[in-house]
Parts: sequence; C-alpha cells; structure tokens
Amino acid sequence: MGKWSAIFLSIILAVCLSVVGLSSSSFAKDKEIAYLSLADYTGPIAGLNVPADMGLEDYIKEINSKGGVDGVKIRFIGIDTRYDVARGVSAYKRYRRTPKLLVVNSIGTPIGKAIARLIERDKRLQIVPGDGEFQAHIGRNFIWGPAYQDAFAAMMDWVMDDWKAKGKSGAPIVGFISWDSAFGREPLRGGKEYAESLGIKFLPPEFFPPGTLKHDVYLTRLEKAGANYIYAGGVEPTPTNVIRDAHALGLTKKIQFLNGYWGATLLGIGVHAKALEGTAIVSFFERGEDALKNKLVTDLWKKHRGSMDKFNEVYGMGVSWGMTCEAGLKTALKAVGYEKLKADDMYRAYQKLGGLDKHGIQGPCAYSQTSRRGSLEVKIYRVKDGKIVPITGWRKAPDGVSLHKF
Amino acid sequence: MTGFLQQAITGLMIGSLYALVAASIVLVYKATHVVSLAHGQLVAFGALFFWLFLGGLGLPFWMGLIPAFFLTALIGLLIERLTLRPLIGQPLIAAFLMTFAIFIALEGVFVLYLKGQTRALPTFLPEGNLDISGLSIPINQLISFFVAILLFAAVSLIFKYTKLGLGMRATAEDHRLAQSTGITVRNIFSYIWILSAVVAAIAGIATANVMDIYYMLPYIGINGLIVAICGGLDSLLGALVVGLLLGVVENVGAAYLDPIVGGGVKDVVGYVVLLLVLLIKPYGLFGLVRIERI
Repeated sequence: MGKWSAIFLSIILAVCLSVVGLSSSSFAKDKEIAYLSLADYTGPIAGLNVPADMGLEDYIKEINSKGGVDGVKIRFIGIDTRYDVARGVSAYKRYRRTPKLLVVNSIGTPIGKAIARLIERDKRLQIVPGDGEFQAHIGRNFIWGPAYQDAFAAMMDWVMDDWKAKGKSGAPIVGFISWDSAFGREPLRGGKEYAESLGIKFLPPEFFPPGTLKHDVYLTRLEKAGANYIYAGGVEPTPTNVIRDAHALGLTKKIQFLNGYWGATLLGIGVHAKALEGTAIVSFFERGEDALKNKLVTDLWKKHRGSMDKFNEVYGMGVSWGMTCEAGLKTALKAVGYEKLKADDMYRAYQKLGGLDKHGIQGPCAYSQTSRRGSLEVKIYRVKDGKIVPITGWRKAPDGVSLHKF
Repeated sequence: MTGFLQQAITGLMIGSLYALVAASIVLVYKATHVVSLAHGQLVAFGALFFWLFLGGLGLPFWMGLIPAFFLTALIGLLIERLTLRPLIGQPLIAAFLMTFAIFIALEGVFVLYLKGQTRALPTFLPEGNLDISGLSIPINQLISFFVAILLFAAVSLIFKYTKLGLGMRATAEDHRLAQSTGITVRNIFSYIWILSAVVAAIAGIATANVMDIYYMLPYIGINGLIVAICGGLDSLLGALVVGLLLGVVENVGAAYLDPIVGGGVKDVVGYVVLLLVLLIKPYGLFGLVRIERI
C-alpha cells in the first residue's frame, strides 16, 4: 500500500468512527420506542396504505416535534411488503429485535395471521385489518375498526331501511361480489347469517381473481338472479372497477350498489364519478365531505403534504392509528416508566384504551380485555353529485362475528 | 342462447386485447427467436404515456397518441440496443432472462409512479352500448376490436409485401443467411422491437380503456404470453385466433362453470388451455414445426 493510499484510508476510517460515535451518543440521549409498519406501498392495496401511513407518519412527527409522549419519541419504520406474506414475515423477523419495538401494524390480513404466532411468542401486539378471527379468538391482534362482518351487517341494516323507505314490500335480494380470497370472503362469515336473519334473500356470492379485466360475467349473473342490491367487496380500485363495469352494462340504474370500508374513496370518485354516483359505502372512519371538514386531519395534511388536491380520507385513519399508539404509550409509561417498558406492557395498555376519543375520525376506541375491535361504530355514506356525503350518523355495527363459528 | 352469445361477445372483446399483446410478443419472436416477458411493461407504459399526454397535459387524441407511440417505441429500441444486442450469440435463455429482468425493473418504475393510485383514460371513444336483438355491445370495445383486427391485417401485410417485412422474414429464417444477402440483421432487430413496442402501446391503450391504468395492467402480458405460446410463437394468425378463443373460453367458462365448481374458472382456464395445447401440439396450434436434419 502506498503512502497516499494509507493516508486516504486513515481519513476515511477517522470520518466513519466519528460518525458512529456521534450517532451513538445522539441515540443515548433520546428515549425512543419503535413502531413497525409491515406495509404495502407498491402492491394491490397501496392506494389505501400509502395515504394511511402518511397520516400515521405525520402524526408521529407532530408528537416528536413536541418532545414525544412524556419525553419518549416514536420511531416509525415502514417496510414495503407488497402485500406479500413471505416478505411480511421476513421483515418482521428482521426487525423483531429492534430495541423497544412496541407496535407492529400488519397491513394485510394474510400477513397479520402469518405473524400472529411470532407476535404471541415475542409478547408484543400487532394491529390488523378487520378479519373476524382476531375478535373471535382473543389474542394480541387488535383490529383497526369493527370486523368486516360487523360492517357488512350494518350495511344490511341500512339495506332494510332503504328498502322500506322506497316503499317496497317483501324482502330485498342481495348479491355479493368480491376477490376470490380469504379477505374477499370474510364479510360473509357471520355477515351472511345476519343478512338472512333480517329476512334478506342472499344470492350465491360471486368471486373473481384480483386484477380481472372485466366483471361483466359475474354482474350479469347477479342481475339475472334478480339482485336489488349488490355489495362490491375488495380493496380500491377493485370496488370502483366493478361498479364501472356495472355502469357500462346499465346496471347502476336498476340496482343499488354497496361498498365496504375499503371501497370508493375521494380519489376513486375522481376517476369514475359518473359510474359511482349513488353508491352507498359503509365506513368506520370519516370519508369524503366529513373528512374534508375534520380540521385536525386537514391541517395536518396541509402542513406536511401541501395542496388538498391529492387528499385521500384514508389519511385520517392513519392519524387515528397514531392517536391510539400515543394513548397506549402514555398508559404504558404511566404503569412501568420508560426503563422497564416492554412490548408486553404496551399490549396491556392497549386493552385499557376503551372509550379513547379519536377527534371524530372514527368512533371511540373499543379495545378491552374482551374486545379487539378498534371501534364499534360505522357511518353510511353515499356518492352524490361526485361527492361522498354521510346519509346516517354514527351507528353501532351489529356483532357479526359472534354469528359465525370460527 | 342470448346469454351464451352475450358472454361470447364480451369474451371476443377481451380476447382481442389478449391477441394484441400476443402479437407484440410474436413479432419479436419471429425475427429474433427471443420470447419476451418485457412486453407486459411496454403495454403498461404505452397506456401510461397516452394518459400523460391526453389526461395529464390535456392534448387532443392524435397529439397524445403519436408521442405515446414514440416514447414506447423508444423504450423498445433501448431494450434492444442496451440489453439484448450484447447478448447476440449467447444462449437464448440469457435473452429470455434479460427480458424478465427488464420486466421487474420497469415494474419498479411503474408502481413507484402510480403510488397505488388508478389513472383512468379520458373518454376518447364514443360511449354507450350497441343493442342488437337483445345483445349489448359496448361501442368503445367494439371499436377496439376492429382496430385490433385491422392492426393484425396491417402487420401481416407489412410482413408479406414490404422490403422490411421480407428482411424480417429472412432474419427469422436464418440470421447468417440473411446477413449474407445484404440484410443488416442488427437493424432488423431494432425495427422489430420498435414495431412490437408500438403494437404493445396500442394494446395498452385499448386495455386501459377497459380496465384503467393500475398496478395489475402489466400482468396482461402473461395472458399475452399464454396466447402467443398456444397460437405458435411465430404465428400472427395464431395470436389472433387463440387470443379471441381464450377470451371466449374464459368468459363462457366463468359463466357456466363457476356455479358448478364454486368459482375461480377465469383464474385457471388459460393455463388449462396452455397445458392441453402444449401436450397435443408443442409448437402451438399455428406454429411452424421445426424439423432438424441430423
């Protein structure tokens, strides 16, 4: 090695050591916990997950800028799993030894179910989408809102109200179309039983592969079977695409279309407003005009994201995740303090969050020792003149989970 | 009967899109013997460019179409020049894997740009349905169908009656022989990638008109590949016939078999057809059977 090479390498080494030294000393100063998001930023549900994690991240930034929760800052770690179970599990295994990793947010039900056992072993908690199993078998998995079957049951209540309001006699006929996956079928596990208990005639459900080019074949079958209402499941943009095809077939004029809580958002409306006109949406978080009126959410968006042009109401749901984490951390710190704080303490704290107010973004938190539901309330919205407007107030979703044997 | 015909017609409309994607794959194979997996992305980028000019910049139809073709053709040309040309003389599997790598790389760009959102093409074809004795046919899809048929005819005529087509056919037959007759084989490779990219762009625009532009759009390339293989990788006629057939089989199969087997027919029917065709006719239904003298 030449003299100049040795000097150059020594300088590089010195710089590296000083950087390591500086960063370790700054780590030593900050009290910090970690929040791991096993997200989908580029896959099938990225349209929802990207804005949701934006909301979460912005809310965390706000907390940290004010000195954290009782002096403890939150470090957000977002990993793009592309809705892939293997990537999700691998990412969890990679990050599970992160110091003070207290919350894991699994964006997809399959990932949530896959890592549930690891979460149990690590005595941690994870927050998950609305699969009824997480409520039926109480564990360390906390649902973001009501379960899918609860929301579906609430929609069936509205169908009955709507049917009566239209002056129709007898029972309405309801069709169901969704992704051919466990997630796509989940609303029916308990939801179907609930619908039938109301006297609704339920047609054989239609399932199709995600990414299907046209949904005509399924829609025409439901139409021929006499559907008065069709519930289009799946995650955006799928429900919008289904209704787009229905509109092209002229079905939206004679059949009332319904969406679950991953259905049409402001951005979907922007793409196919005409087709979606009249669609009813059941949601556990504020949508459309409601979300645009929520000052906390819109101020946060404007501060961190600028123009409201690309605002998506799912952002608010992310903010509510942040609120839950903040409240859980506060409770856990009060119980054990920072030094002794472990993931298990956060799990215990989350079970005490019942009644937590989320600034109107969604109903009060319903977590308890026996409840894993993030909230019990839903609102029904309708697409009207290209806007998503509420047509009911917050109403309690029926317990669909208990109607199914898991 | 009306129900069956309705499903068959819808299938034909979808099948014409598969056929177009398959045609772009067949074009490349005909001249270079490379089976391209990258064409799914050319389809997606063609549609995306068209959306950018039409929806993003608000240009009129033709002003959006021409630069979209140009940019997609440019990507096709760059793929050929930068990644496939250095592989000339190497085993064909290397080129095949290279196209797979290109698919993955371009997918990264595509999904990063979309950020999970959907882009819908502005209305550029007449809307509404044509009702013929109880059968309903969307007018915009009917136009796409006829455009596909015309495009097939045009490409076939180019192959048969132009000097460029003759060069392409000669190159497909034997690279060295073609070179010895004065054909610049490397240029032919470039031309064929440009032509196939433009066909892919047309396929992309027609497909996006039906399903919008979102992360699943490039995966229509898989259906295109199934059609190309079943039809015979070197047969444009095969791509057209099998494309239309697959669309009909998928749709009619889903309509009549789903209630019996509990759904999911659309998911598997393409692969079942592929399996059967390969078992019976390994070179595809219209493919040239190659006989080697030993």
